[in-house]
Amino acid sequence: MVSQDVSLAEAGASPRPSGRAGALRWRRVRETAYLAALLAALPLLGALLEGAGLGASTTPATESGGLGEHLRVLTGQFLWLRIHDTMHAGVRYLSTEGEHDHDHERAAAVAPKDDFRGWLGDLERQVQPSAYGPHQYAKDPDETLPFYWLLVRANPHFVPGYLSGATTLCRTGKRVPEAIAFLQEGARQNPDSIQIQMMLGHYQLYYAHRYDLSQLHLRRALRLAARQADSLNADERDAYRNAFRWLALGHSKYGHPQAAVAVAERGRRVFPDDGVLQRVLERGGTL
Amino acid sequence: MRTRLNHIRVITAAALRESVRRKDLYVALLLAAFAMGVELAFIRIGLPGLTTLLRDMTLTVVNILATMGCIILAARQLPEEISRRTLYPLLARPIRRTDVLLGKFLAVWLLSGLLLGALAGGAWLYLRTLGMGYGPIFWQYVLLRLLSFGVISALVMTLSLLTTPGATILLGAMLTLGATFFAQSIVLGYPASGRGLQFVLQWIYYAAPHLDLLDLSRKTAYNWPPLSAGVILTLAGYALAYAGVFLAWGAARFRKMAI
Repeated sequence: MVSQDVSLAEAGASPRPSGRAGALRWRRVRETAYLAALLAALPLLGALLEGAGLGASTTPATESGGLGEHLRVLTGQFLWLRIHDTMHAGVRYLSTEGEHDHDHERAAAVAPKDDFRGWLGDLERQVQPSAYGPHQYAKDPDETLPFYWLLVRANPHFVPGYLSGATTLCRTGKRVPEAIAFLQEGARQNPDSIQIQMMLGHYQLYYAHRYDLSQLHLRRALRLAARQADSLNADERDAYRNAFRWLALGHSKYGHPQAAVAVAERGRRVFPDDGVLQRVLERGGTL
Repeated sequence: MRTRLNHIRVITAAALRESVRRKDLYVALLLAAFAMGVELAFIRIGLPGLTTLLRDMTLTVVNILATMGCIILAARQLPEEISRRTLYPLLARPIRRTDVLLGKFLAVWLLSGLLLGALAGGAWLYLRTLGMGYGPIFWQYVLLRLLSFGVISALVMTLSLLTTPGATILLGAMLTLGATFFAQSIVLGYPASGRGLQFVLQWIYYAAPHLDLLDLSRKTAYNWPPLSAGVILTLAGYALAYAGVFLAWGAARFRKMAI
């Protein structure tokens, strides 16, 4: 049997010099066109993501610094994403920072009712960890602790790492001394952080029952916030507000109603709509 | 038919022998051993809590090495035979070009499967020894990766008939390793696009093979429950359909090629 689509003459013998040069040129043009099309697709995808408002980074980049500093920040970003992945058992979430003060994430997968992909979308929700998949699956938050340990070593100036790590350590008062030590390390590395000082004050007061130490940290938080009042972001403003609240509640709890009222009045001047401070005032500084 | 099957079997066996002789697989296995050594160092310096990270990193190493192994094996099969002129005696025999392509394809798929088996088996044993073993979903992960290598082998062999070996490897790597990124970008960018662009994106999404559907590594790393048999069968059909499409395209191109 001689196959019609195999031709020995075509295979070996005729080099066809004139046509071959042209074919080679044409082949190079085609390859260049393929690669150019692929490379052109990348900015298009970037523009699509930008259009969808999904280009925001979850961690701040350094404004200046050498290669080493950038590597540290990148490692920190990688670990920060790993923490989120581990917390959500691999379900991808996207940062939507800027849209809402307290809701910084939404599932990366499209909800089935909004999905244009039909059965392919259903299949993907089965195959990849998905917030809309058949199983809801969560991991033990303790699994993220080694990531926090690595994260703050990679980037000791990444404040959310300390806050989130301390929250995980201190869940319902489980590992309070470790959480406080973690925050103290953060305070050493970031002496101007309002959020860390506020959290330290909160933990000392509420979990460690150290009124004296809580006063120290909460007052420091208020001083730092007053100094940076014009440049506070949403999270720092929250910390500022909470510092007033915890300070007033601490005074109330430990029998200093007048001091509680004084703090609440100061706080109401900055946050006139705050209900917690309003209640402290209404009760005359008592609980 | 029996003669054609025999031709395909002989070509597959010859391609297997040639690849083993070139020691392509040993390099990948050595790299895997090195990567796992680095992970072991991670544990030795006192970070035993990073179970999911180690599981995930191990699967990433397996995925990248096995996929690159598959791409390189597929990209070299036909162009090397053509450049060394060892294809000519083969084509002089009464063998169809389609059968040559099928034989080579089966050899690449088999070799990639062996490489995957060695890497994934090593990873499974390695993590089990460390007390961080995978759940039953791991075996589904291996099966789906094996199916994805069928699609990748067919795609890359077809590309190797259209472009140079260097471009084939680059394009193959971009299309396979970047598949998740491309698919995700389309899904996320779709709602913010205009009607016309949405129409185009929809068609691109439907036409492109979604190799990310054949990658269970994320669920495996986080020990999710296994998939149902129905889903596995659907995915198998999906993979075989795309492998068939690419092979048909490659065969059509190979038949018309002036060698």
